[in-house]
Amino acid sequence: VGSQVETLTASSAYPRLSHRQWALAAQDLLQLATTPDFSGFANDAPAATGFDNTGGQLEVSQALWEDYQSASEALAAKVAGDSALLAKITPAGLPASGDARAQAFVTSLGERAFRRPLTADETTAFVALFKQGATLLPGRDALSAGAELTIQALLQAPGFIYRQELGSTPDKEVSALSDYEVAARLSFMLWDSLPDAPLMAAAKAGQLHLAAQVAEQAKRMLALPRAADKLVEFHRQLLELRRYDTLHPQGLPDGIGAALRAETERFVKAVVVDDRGGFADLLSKSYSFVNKDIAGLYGLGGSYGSDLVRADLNPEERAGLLTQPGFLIYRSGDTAPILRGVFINLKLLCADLPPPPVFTPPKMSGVTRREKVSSITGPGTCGEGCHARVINPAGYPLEYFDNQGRYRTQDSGKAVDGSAAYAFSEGTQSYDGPVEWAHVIAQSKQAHECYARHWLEFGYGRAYASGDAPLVQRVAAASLSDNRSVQELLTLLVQSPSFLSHKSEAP
Amino acid sequence: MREPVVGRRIFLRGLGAVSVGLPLLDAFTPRHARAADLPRCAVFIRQANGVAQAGNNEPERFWPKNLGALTQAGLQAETDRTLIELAGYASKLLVVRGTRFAFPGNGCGHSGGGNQVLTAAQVSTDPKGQYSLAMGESVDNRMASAINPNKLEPLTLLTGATEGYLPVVLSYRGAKQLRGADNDPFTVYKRMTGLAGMDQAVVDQVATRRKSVNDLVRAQLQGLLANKRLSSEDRRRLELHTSAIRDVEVKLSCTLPEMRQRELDGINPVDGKNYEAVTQMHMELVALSFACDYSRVATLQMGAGNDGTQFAIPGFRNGALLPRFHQISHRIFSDGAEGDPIEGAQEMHHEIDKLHARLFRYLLDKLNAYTQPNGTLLDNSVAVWTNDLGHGVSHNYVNIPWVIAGSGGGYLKQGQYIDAGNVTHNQLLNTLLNAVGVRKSDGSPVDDFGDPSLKKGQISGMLA
Repeated sequence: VGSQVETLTASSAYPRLSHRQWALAAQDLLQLATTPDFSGFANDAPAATGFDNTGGQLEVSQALWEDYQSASEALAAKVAGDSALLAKITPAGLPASGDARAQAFVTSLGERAFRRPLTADETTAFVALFKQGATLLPGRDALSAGAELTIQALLQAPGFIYRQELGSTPDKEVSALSDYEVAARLSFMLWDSLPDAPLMAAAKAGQLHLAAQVAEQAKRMLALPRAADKLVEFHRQLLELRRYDTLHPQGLPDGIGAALRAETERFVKAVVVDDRGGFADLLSKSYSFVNKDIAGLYGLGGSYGSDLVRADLNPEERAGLLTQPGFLIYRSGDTAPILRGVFINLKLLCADLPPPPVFTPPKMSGVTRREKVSSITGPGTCGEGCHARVINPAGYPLEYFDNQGRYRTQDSGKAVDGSAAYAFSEGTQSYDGPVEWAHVIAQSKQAHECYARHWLEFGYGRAYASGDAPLVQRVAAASLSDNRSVQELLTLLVQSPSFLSHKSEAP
Repeated sequence: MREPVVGRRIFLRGLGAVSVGLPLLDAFTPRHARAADLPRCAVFIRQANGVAQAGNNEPERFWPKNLGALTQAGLQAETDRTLIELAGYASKLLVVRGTRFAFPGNGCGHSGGGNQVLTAAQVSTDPKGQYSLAMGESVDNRMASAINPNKLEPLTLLTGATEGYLPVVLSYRGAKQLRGADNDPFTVYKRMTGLAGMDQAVVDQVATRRKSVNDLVRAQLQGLLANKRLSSEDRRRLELHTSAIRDVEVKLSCTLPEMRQRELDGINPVDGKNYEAVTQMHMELVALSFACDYSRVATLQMGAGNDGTQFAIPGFRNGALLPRFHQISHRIFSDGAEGDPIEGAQEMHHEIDKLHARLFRYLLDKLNAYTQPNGTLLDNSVAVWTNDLGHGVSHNYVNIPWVIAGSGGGYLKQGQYIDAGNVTHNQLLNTLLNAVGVRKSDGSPVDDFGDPSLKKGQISGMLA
């Protein structure tokens, strides 16, 4: 496997920035203290990757164009109307007036916005716009007026909105990316934002097309806070953590949903960023972050406030993401084993489930939840094909948790049965209870490959294709056999031929 | 194709921003307008999970008892049927049974139904399952491109979260070109109103600046499009972007009362407990859009089917929180089982249907409150309540619920319950396209919307 090389996948030459990327890039371009609010941007159509940054599918509709327009105008007015803010983005040694000043301002800001030097035509167009400032914004200082128009246009320009990837030999189907294109791929993959000055300098110096050069930059970039945000954002989207905000579990305080989401985000950050851990750690660490509302769900004594603090958990009951109450509450109720099992299959194991059968549990009393579900989907039922082999066994070990994510040993007066066996692609594995199950997944080739595949999709901003399999297997092997951290997996992904070159789609 | 008639917007411009939260305002209709000149509008609201109609050994709880004329007294007497909630609109209803979706889903019944309901197109093989897409344009898109002023795209609205197992499915620009749907009413409202209320001198200045910026952006996009090697998909996306850029501010000239604006601003649109309130807000925006001649076409996807929505219905089981709607819709889990595994599941489904009937009535109330020379905005529009499935239990594609209100200014029959005779529903979509004034390029009635393999024509029983 290690010696096989992936075949390149054709992709868009103009992937659009996700909303988050647009906002972070605008923030960095204008050196603002806070990220512009992008919550009102028109929703994109969902992509089958499940991620928001599958750029080749993202469009600029009328509604989004209007949103770009209003956001650009507001940001431009804010920066240009505040001399301190304007000074931050004004290049040093700016000529005092005239064409030279317009030229210097446009060249400097334009290069950062477009992640490459502007072409001569682009420079001419932006300089002309800058100079219209005096008439279009009468009564304003010429620099401020010119800057406002320039910013307004840069943030709506295709050079900002799309990550242009034509390669260094655009007339060929397959082409190595230019150094500037590599810089942008790298910064949007690791930061969801623009290249910083060192990265642009490396591109300008032609030092950003060899795998080793890119790896070195990636290591530097991963140590910065923007990378931490991106690492958390990946898991936020993969695990649908935003949905936790509106959970209203019966008997628990209102607002606990937001705390449950914060818990998982803190945990991911602690494992992946602070401790530089790997995928297996996400599924096996027996600590988390709790406040007064969450501590009780873990059966923790002691006094806690509203803020989340790190707490060690019982390692015989808890192991990582799958045993956190947010995950368990989001997928609870009579069909919890199925909801939890389907999620694990789809998102953690990338199992290709056949169409879901018509299903609802009957009202039965005096039986465990497992008995109910088995009676409908277990061996000998119409749901057997899929449920008995993969869905139920992924959910049953989590029967040790009730609808509030509390650990339990009894269900309806009977002992919980958390034993099961799962048919992994690499072979069937048996286990008993949530901790064993989490550790089995943490050591499964199928799970590591699935995780690597998600990172390829989120990192590259495109859907996985069969030609990517060797790369995914290589990254997964590093994760599983060599115990590489998540950050190291990203460093591997950016060194592959798939990352460093572009294959065109058919005209 | 009918030339769009722009009336009220231009008329309104001189008035500046006017609050029209309450029943309207004859002043908004141009005094010289003739009924035939009035714009036609269409809104499609889509409930998920089928309805509690007869089938699978369950009694009929949805459709009226008898085909033929619908009357207020008649519907009110049918206390076990959903349409009792719409009795007050009996004379303006056209209820159509006997249509089916032509094509199978591809791994997910909800997605496949949602793909087809407004497109009558096939369901994609890639992507499949809950991400399947329609292989053709949707009817709202076709209507908007024919009748919307200023080439506006249709309003595309969603009640519920965008993240989850089943995503947005309803509106398509073309094969696999799914349109995103907006779920936050205040966001939509702000976009619709734009600079409304600002001083005209300021508006003019902003417009001049925008024109300069637009010219620059358009020129750069044209530069990209000049590249012969551009992929067809990139070309399509960049052309869409180019056409999205407009120099003339296309905005509502009327606004909601400030108090209502604050309510729109304050609500969490993805919290399941706000399902009805958010749906109502979306409906108000649709009515405002039609009344003030913004977009004349809108869709509203209410929930995603298998999305975990739970309802609590006042007066039903003491207002207790019911099981997940999707699970209620799946109440029978094996062939030949007796009774319902979720006790009273069909009754619950029926109550949820009635809840949606009341939501539909809320929309009709809003549309009906605007008076026009020959009746109300509702009379000149087509408001449609439909579903991604026929029967809830079997998740099938037959006998799709179609409850239509408003005649499109006299095109559709009113006060009737008809059986279309188990035809594919493209014929119903053809009829609705004609009702809002869309025609084929030669001026003849549309008879060929949807997949080309389907039998052409309108449903004659729907015609006035």
